[in-house]
Amino acid sequence: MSPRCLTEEELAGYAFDALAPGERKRVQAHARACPSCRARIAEAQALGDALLAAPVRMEPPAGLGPRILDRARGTLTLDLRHRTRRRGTLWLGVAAALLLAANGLQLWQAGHLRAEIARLRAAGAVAGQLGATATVERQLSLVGTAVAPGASAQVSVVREADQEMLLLTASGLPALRGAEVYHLWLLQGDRRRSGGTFTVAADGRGALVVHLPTGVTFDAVGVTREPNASTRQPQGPKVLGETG
Amino acid sequence: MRALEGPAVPIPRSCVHGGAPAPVADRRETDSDDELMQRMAKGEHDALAELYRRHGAAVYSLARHICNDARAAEEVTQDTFLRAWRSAAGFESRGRCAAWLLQIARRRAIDERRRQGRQVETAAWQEDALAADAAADPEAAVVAHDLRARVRRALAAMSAEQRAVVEAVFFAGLTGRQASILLGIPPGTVKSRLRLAYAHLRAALGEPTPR
Repeated sequence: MSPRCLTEEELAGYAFDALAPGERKRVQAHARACPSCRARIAEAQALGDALLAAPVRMEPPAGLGPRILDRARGTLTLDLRHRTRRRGTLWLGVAAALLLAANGLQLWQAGHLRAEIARLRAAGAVAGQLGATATVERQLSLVGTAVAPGASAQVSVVREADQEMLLLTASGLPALRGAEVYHLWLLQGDRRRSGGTFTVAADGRGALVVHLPTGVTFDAVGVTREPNASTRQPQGPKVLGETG
Repeated sequence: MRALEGPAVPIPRSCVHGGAPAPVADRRETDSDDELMQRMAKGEHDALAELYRRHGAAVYSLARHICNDARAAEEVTQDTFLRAWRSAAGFESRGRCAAWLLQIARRRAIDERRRQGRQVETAAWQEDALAADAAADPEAAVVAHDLRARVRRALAAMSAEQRAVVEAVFFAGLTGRQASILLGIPPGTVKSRLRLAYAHLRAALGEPTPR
């Protein structure tokens, strides 16, 4: 225990989180052994807590809560507002319907998506949204790298009229920690473009739907494990890549 | 407050201790934050929805204050609640769930702010009398609202110099030395202004509730 009790300066530093790690540890160690300072530290902590809640209250956007829940469930509809102009909500409805249909099914295999679209159309699940001309343009299989050996994923590009959507369904991915996410990258020659991020459920399954802006092309895709959803370039290891 | 959309998640029988389970709507409104965290640890998405309903605005507001960017604040809010979802099993119940969430958001927002290279500025600390506080207990909501009002009044009443140091250290995440360089004052002055700001806030929180 430190020989002297805590100063007001130290308490202020504790409340405002201004202490260096070593100072903070020393303050906490003293408080554990000194009942009087323990109460003062508790008061400083309460003041810091109150300060956290003080900023002017603003309502979050209406879609944020559902998006968080979607992510917690292991699925995601990507918000591309800051990457491209949204071209109507048609495909968002389609994406939602397809993801709901996929929930609880086995991972889509090659050709499975086409049958799924036909089934949805027949069932009227996306009546008025998914036209008769929707086609699966391209399908890719991804396999886990050495850091995710049991993982695999299917990527499908679906087109209707002049609109394109990419759907990724993955399984066997390791659980994420903290703010970590999986990040899909679209590769065209030397150029790398973010395709969005997703998380996985406890069983390692996750899905991502991307409304592809006009003119976006890619010849390969890859998935990395990133420390958070804000990385603009890959910082973590590659977990999924194309076969061959 | 607005309820979250999305399909209802049934409560597993294994989570109900004795008697018939209460309707989902009743449980959502009456469970404490700690109980919500326990339900989240069991995988109940409904509990996460309720936690967001209660604290989403506070987390988002803190992130907006720190990042001054709506898009970044959304990402911070999302990361905060997803971290809570993933960490629920290891969460130690101490009745400080809201503070724990806000502390996660603060650190994440400071990281985002550093990435943006945003400068420190002194924010306005006006009243927001119409803002709602959501809590399981209406009395707790009133207390929380009163506490926020007191802190805001105290911040508004501080000198601009004291407030700038609080902004730089607490909301921008600068060390004392960094704050002294940024604000052009000696490190000792940073410490003394923080001490005065602390005394000011303590006095404000100790005042009787105005009627």
